[in-house]
Amino acid sequence: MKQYLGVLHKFSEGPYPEPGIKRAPTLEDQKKALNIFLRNCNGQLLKELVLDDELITSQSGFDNIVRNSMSDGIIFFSIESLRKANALIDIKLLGRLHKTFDNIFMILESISITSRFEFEAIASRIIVNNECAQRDSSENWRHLIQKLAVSLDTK
Amino acid sequence: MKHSFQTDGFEIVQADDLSALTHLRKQVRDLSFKLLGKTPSEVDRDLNFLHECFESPEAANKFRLKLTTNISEQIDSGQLIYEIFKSHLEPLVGFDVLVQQTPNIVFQPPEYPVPTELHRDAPANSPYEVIVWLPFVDCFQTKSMYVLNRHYSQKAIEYFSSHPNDKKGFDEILLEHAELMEVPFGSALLFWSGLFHGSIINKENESRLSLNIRYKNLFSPLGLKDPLRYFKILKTSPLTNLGLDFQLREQLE
Repeated sequence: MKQYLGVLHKFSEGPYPEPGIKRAPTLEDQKKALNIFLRNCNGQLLKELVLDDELITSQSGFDNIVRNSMSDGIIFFSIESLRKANALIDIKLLGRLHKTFDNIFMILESISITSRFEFEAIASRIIVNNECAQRDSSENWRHLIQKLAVSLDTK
Repeated sequence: MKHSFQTDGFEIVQADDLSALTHLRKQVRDLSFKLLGKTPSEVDRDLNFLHECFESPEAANKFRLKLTTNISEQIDSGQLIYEIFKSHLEPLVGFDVLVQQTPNIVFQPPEYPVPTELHRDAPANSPYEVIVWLPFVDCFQTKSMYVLNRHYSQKAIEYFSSHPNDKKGFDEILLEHAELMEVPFGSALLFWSGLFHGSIINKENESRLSLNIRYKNLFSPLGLKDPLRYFKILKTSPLTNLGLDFQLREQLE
């Protein structure tokens, strides 16, 4: 039976940012989901770690825990745990996790990384999302969109 | 009257590949009848009179949820529908395409008390999404859905912004300008995520079984919905593949 390091996400308080979702899952909900998922793939939680903003932004703490973990894989409740302070997903950290663990799972996003191919497919999507998010929030992009909208309106 | 996607925000288009659509419809009928434990007969009749299999709205909804799961597990509907309507979708979303992971299935039996409430997808979805609304039966009058075209969707937003508590006034705009779509089997309604749309109680004597699914360009701005959870990549161009491969190596070094 494979052993997993579980990562629960400490969602910030207040309404969940995605419309249609009433509340963020509690740590207890998340642990339950991790256990159900692992039971179905013949794995078990070795230990779980609650990841909050402090741990992910300091990173060295998280990396140390990961390096010293004796588990075969890592299972996140959500990829949100890999989001950096600048709102982008930390692709380098995902790369390091892939080097350390055979298996990476993220329940909420139905992400399963068990091969190089799967890793590259997910990593590519994250890169695109990061690029788009960065572009969408930039002043230059806002100006460009405004200019384009005005020129379409006057055509 | 023919509508244009650019001007009205919606368009009713013919399938490029009718035989593939007919096959998809048969697959959906077969899955439905397997779930219900019934013996199928003629596809069009089976689907139009699907309501005869249910005694309550709750049972019909339970069936819909099971059918949604079955379709998403057994049919690659995102790919199929894209191919079936490719000549209409490609000019809208380009060559690098994301598709909604799980299509929504809607079942509206006659007099079903829960029609789709008036809403628009964007925001929270990205305003760069197109919705394919695909009926598996001929849809007309109350058996169909309604949309407010781009102009009146904008008017409705403006009215709501200046009169946030006047639901009556808002409903008047809706009643006056909402158009019930006539979408025969073999065609689909493509509409922009910024349009108000919904449905009313089906007063015809046939059921409506339809599917809706969203497409967007991989690089177009994101909405509030988590793109990793909501969408999957349908296809990428050779140029994008090279760029992604380049960035992957660069960013992981």
